[in-house]
Amino acid sequence: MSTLGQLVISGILIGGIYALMSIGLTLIFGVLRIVNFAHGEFLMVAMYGAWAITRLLGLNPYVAAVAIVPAMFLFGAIVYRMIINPALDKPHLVVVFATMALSIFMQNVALMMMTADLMDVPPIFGRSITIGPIYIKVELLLGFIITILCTVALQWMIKTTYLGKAIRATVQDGEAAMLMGIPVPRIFLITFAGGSALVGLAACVMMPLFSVFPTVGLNFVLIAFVIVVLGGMGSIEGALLGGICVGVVQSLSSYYVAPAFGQMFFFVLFLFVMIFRPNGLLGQKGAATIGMNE
Amino acid sequence: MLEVRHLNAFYGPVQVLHDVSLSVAAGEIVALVGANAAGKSTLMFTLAGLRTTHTGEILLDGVAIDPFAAYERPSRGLVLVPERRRLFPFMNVLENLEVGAYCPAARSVARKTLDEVFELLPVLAERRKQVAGSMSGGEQQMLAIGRALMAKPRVLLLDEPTEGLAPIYVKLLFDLIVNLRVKGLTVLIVEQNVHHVLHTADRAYVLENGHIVMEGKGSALLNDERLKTAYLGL
Repeated sequence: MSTLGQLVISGILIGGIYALMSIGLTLIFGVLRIVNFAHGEFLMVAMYGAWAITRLLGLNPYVAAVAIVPAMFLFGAIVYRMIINPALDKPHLVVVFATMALSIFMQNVALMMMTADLMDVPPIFGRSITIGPIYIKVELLLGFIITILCTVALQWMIKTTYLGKAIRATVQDGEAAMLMGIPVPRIFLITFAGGSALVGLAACVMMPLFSVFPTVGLNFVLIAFVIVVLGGMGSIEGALLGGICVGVVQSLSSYYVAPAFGQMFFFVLFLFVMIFRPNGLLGQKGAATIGMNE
Repeated sequence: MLEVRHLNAFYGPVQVLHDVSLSVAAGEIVALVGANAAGKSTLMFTLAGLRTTHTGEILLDGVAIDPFAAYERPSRGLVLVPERRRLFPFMNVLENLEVGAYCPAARSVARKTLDEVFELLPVLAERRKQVAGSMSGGEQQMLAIGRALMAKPRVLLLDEPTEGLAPIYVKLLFDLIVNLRVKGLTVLIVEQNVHHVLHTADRAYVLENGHIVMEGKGSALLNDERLKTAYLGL
């Protein structure tokens, strides 16, 4: 019983971190209705940034977030201006191939600059918290708390601030939003850059737990896509729930079946959800055209 | 106040408006009538800065507004209430009104404007927490106008405001338009309900196949034989 409890708690905590990585993706999809196939490489760049700050300046990755998050916001804004925006009024496949090309480009630049070696940072807290028979890694717990705070803050921003209402208005009717004076192109830019900044935060939370290498994004972007679709495309709470589901399934199947089958089982779960609940756990009907959840 | 000079508008290679010139003086209600596909909504969208490519000039208080994007025009005083309302259906009434005051100048006086809108349209105050998509057509139209008023427009463009409304709301709406004129607002209205709109408007233009073919006082056009035959079925 204690093993099962341990596996579930660990799964929930790692799922929270997966969710943090996926929120940016679902936010971008919910507002711009595009899928950023370079999302994993954004994570990779931000992880290298956090690694560099940790190694060169001797700071820990959580402190590095103070620099990485705004830097990723800026990076996202530049990518939006140079690659996404020119492709937005073209057929949808243009954005798909543009972001795929960006993904490959970024992997290869990273390979040239950083080599294929795995790079990591030393453990920050060193030991786990013990609650009865359950051991909780502090980095995982901290990451989970950051995810919850981030989800609540994002929901608060979207529901109550003028920017949030402008984002919701843009999602519901972009043309009508423009007629009300909402600068829709700027809302798109802020959303894309904001989604990229969230990946930056996720990278800083993940750096103490995972190594970084040029193709690390591929490992995580698949998980992020599953989470976004599982939770419901465009749903921020859905990303949190989807992340937790994936984390728990991966944790249980890795222990009870075999570590190598961890991913296989959450893809099976993903298939079942797609067959029986195609809009995802918290998604709305027609999310692909409607965009962000209300 | 609003002046359109030699406007030609296009959807791709198709020319929809041909050398359209019109003017709306401050405090005036001007109607634009015409058959379906005459180009009325195209003219409204062009004035609001959406969709079409065009040549010619659009001046607001003597200043050309063509260089400004659609989202920059409300802050210059020009707001369109589009055909079929185009509310934000998943937002409640209050949120729709708040979004209407997005421009910085309007936002700074949003609370005061909100009180004015609620006084003018009490139904919105009663239903402030109701989701816009669940309201009746008439209530939605009131909300669409209230949302536009939140932007503090100087010129209000109304595109087919009575479309699909019950007669009681048609009367309420025209009373509201007259009330807005009393408050000093300038209105350009596109309307299929020719009889009603010509009674209310100070002046009117008749648009046919993208050309202005007639203009005059509303009451005079009501008695025009050609208009009677073409649009009033008399």
